[in-house]
Amino acid sequence: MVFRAVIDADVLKNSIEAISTLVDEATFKLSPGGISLKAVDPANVAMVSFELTSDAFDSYESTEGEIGLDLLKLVDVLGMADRSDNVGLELNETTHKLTITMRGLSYTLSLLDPSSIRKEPKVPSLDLPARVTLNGNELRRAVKAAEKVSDHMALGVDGDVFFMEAKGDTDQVRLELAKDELIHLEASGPARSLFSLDYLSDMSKALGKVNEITVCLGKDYPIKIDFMMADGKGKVGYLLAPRIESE
Amino acid sequence: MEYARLVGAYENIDATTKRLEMTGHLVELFRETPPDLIDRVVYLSQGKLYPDFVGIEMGMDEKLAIRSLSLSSGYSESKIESEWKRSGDLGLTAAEVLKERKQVTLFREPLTVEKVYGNLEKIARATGPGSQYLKVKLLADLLGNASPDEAKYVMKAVTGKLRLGVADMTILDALAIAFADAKEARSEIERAYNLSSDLGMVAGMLAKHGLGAIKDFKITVGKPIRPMLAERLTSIEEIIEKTGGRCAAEYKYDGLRVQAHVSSEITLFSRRLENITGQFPDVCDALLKSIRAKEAIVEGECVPVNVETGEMLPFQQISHRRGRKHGVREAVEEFPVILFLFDCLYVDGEDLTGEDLLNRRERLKEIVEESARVKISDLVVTDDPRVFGSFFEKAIGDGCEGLLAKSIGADSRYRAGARGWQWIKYKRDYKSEMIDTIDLVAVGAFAGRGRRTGTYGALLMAAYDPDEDVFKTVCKLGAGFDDETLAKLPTLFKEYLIEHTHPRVRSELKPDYWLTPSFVLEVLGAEITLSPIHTCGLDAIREGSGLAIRFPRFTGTWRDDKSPEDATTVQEVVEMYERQLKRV
Repeated sequence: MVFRAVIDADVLKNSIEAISTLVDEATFKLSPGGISLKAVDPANVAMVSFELTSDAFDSYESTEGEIGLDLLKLVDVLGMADRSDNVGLELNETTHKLTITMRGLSYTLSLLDPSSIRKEPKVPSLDLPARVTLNGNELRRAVKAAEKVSDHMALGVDGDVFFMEAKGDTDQVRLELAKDELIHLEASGPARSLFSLDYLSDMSKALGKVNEITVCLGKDYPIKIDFMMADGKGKVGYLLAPRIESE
Repeated sequence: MEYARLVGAYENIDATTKRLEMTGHLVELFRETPPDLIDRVVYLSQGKLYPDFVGIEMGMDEKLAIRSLSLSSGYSESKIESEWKRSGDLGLTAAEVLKERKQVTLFREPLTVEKVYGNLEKIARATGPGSQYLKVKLLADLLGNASPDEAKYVMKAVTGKLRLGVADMTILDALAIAFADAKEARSEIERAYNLSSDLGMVAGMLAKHGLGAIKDFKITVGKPIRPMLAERLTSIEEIIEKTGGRCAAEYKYDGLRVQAHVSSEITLFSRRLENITGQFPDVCDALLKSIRAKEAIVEGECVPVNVETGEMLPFQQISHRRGRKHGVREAVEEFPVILFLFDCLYVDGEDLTGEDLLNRRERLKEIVEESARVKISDLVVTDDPRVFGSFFEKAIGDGCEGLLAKSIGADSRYRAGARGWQWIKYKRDYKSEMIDTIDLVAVGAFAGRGRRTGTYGALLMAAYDPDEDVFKTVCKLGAGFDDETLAKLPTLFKEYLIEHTHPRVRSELKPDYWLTPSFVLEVLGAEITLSPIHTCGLDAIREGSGLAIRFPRFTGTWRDDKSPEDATTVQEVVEMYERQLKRV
């Protein structure tokens, strides 16, 4: 198995952080066309899928294969890189290690045995009636506001309005964005589902940095949030299961 | 294998208190369990992951477990905590909460025994930074897939609270019925368990390879043998009778029973089969030097000791050596120990547990080269209650708890895991605690060893007998001297050293140096005991026995104001003994 690549530090950092917010170890699929991953959080509540094509890299060479990585360690190591640095990645198959180089620094990271990591989940196929495109920072702002009153929030579409609301024991918060404040909105019917803020808050760290995210919603159904990165050469998708609305 | 099957058996076992019914449920469970899994099923059924001697136990902090339950159920931690306070059982609370999950999951897959065991094991092994979060996740992974009933047992297990009350013997019964002709197999299976202390492994061997493999079961160095235990009696005559009229009377050292497994490395197990190797690096080093065999399993008693005088110290001293993770080196220095070996169960491929006691002792002597830190136990073979009695007094005087009488006949094989009349404890009924200090006269001195080379290791101390106008010995005094005092002793005593016993001294002991009775020292002891070697109070309490001070200690006060004739009298010691005698 061969894997040798050079990539912009910022792109790599954003990619790994988007994943590590949900899982701290994961198996990446390597192929000549790029790298990809699907991983589910331990409680089976949230899922992340990720793709980065080979042209997102400054140079890229890989055969088919897979490697298990401790993402928390990787994030820690990448913390040493400046935004403008290039990061070199090279797999040593015999020592079972990944060498990471940046401006003279060279780290060797032990790989994890993919069989010790959770198997890649099957993505459930969902038919979600509402689809909203907006600035990621708007969602992040809503999540922050909701956290002040509750541990869960509702997201939904009502006519031409995308709304987010959270009710605590005594207080509540509601944020509405009309169609003209959004990049795009289409809905074949009303949608509303309740989600855990623990998860939304983790996801919104990555979402807040993105100008354009697409949110798909149903009625008491999982939420799907997709966005592009690395000038369209990378793709991240989150799936989060809903909470049950209490009476 | 689905975890639900295991939970079904748990529910059945929980619902009964009858051992036979319990056994029946286990038999069914074992028969349905794939042979590869049966070890794990056995461990899990006892709320364990491994046999005890491995030392990996479940016991996740409940606060962390609640965090997992909160993640999986969607209920807040405070809500779960108040539910738990109400039910008093986190397992029940988990089941209740998960009956009405607030959080939907994306996927569900049935829990398997493999998966449950795997995650529980990772939780138990996780240490260091980040391990708390890892534990929370691993448990949430199980709870996310668990039915309410499954969650109940997962939760009990992970917090170390799964108590189905399935005893070792019940599992042995069930294994015998499930995999072999019960009656014939039962004792063979138990034997394998007694020789390995590992029920899971025995179950796996039986399920995979049948009873034949169990019959051929061999001792493995590194797996503890369940210790043979002793009964107790309070009459010497009865003891000698029970052991067939003649027995080996052995010092019952007041220390920590240790089973040492020697190969290229040493593993030490306690009486309860905990691995205590890490707490006794000094014992390991000493054993490596002393044992003349490639592989061996020996048993002994680890006793705290005063290195300079060779005296045994009170048992409490050894507690400083137990359960330590840090400061082991310091504790080794501060609380040195001697290992007194008393049995030999295995040497270089040869299982000696079937040999009789004296043969095992011969083999022990063959492979052990005694050193300052490794010795072979004191023992006499006798059929005479008087010999037994005075050996007992000597044992007490030397700091032992009493004697162990061991049968030496044809039935004296090592009965692993059994308590029987082949070994009988004899301890004291009475104890005479010493409350006041006494003033004793130095009449002799023993040469020092180790750090005390060049000065004295201990002094021979005596009480005064005004009737006969002589001094009668009552103890060897080695403790309580500071370095400065010790260094001064040879100069101090120089003019008082004499060649032979002083005419006014009555002593059975022969010290290295005799002294003219002149110096009076204040001494405090733990108690006054009967002694076959000291002359103070001879025949006063019991024919042939004198009195001795046990664990004597110099208070640091030289009674210069007292002449030797002003020292505590023999009569006073006798009175103290009688006055302070209490039933143990």
